[in-house]
Amino acid sequence: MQCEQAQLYLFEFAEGDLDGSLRSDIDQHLQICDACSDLLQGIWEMDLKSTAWTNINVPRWNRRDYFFSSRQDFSWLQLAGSLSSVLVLILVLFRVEITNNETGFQISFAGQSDYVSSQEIDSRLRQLAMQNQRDVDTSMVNFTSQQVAANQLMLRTILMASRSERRQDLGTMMTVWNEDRRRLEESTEDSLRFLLRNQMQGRREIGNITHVLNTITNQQDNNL
Amino acid sequence: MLGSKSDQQLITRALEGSERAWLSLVKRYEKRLYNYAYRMGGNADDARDMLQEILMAVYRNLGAYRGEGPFPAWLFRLASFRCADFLRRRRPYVQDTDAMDLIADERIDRHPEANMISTQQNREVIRLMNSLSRQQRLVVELKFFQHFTFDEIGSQLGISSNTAKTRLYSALKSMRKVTEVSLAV
Repeated sequence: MQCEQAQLYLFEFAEGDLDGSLRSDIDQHLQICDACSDLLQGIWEMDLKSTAWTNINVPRWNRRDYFFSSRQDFSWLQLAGSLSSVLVLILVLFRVEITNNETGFQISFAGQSDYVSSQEIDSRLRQLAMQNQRDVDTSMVNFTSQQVAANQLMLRTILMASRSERRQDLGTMMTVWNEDRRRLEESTEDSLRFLLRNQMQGRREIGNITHVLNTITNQQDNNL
Repeated sequence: MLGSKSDQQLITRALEGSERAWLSLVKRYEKRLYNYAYRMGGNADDARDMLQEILMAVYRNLGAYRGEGPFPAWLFRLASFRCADFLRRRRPYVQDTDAMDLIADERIDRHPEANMISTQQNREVIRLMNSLSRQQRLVVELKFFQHFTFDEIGSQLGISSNTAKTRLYSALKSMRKVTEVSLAV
């Protein structure tokens, strides 16, 4: 038997899977062939080493995250991308237009929206500016009128208050003056009464004196 | 095992959208794939990256599995493609046999001596695997560690079974030389 033939069955020979003449042929070849004997020895040694291998533990790793988190992210991204594409396609195919006016957003299909040119927009803007100016002017006029009316009312109120105060002051002064005058009149009357009483008393005393003097004169005349 | 679902049941449910079924399938094969990737890549970082790439490829291609053969054969065929691609992209040579993450699984973690022996044995395997070309390494891995037949290996790698044998013997010769040199030193 040649080496090539022997090596075809060497592994089966090493594992004891060969029977009969083939096994004895290889056995005889191995006794005379160092190369094949070395190979057989190598098979046995490697077999021993593989049996002696002790399994190493797998380092900790998060299997769920590794397999499923990336897949979920991808599917979300993919979904968002697909939805965006479909939306854009619908907008283009159906010529969807979204416009904004006084009543809010307006969505129209197939280009049926109110087309507004830039000139019309300028015109509308000018109208709006004029309207705005008119509104401002009206507001200013109204404000001025109201302010004037308020000022007049305030002046009237001040004047009325001033007159009333002055009337009250004059009343007070008149009362005081009348009181003084009454007191002065009473005092004058008292003085006049006193004067009259003095004069009457004086006249009576003068009459008495005159009477006394006449009496005396008469007596003297009589005596004479 | 009572209550555990077959690969085919898990695959069917995973294809119907069950996350739980898919994660069960991942847990069932991840250790075997991680150790496969470790021996192919020679270090923990590459093994982890390779494992994730392989499982993501399986996740994306699970619908292509028709149940025509055993699931592990299909799985490791895909793993071989991903692994070859990864090693082609990777920098030429990375060895990490001093890393403590060669320490083995739970059942010997509590015994330091056994741990040390298993670490040495694993380190020796990594050293020998690193001495091989990518193609030789794949054949050694699939034959000695995954126990596929030469026909299955040939089918997975797109070569004939005789070519697979030839590559294996070539790999064995290279490893014998490496072992002899290290013994002589």
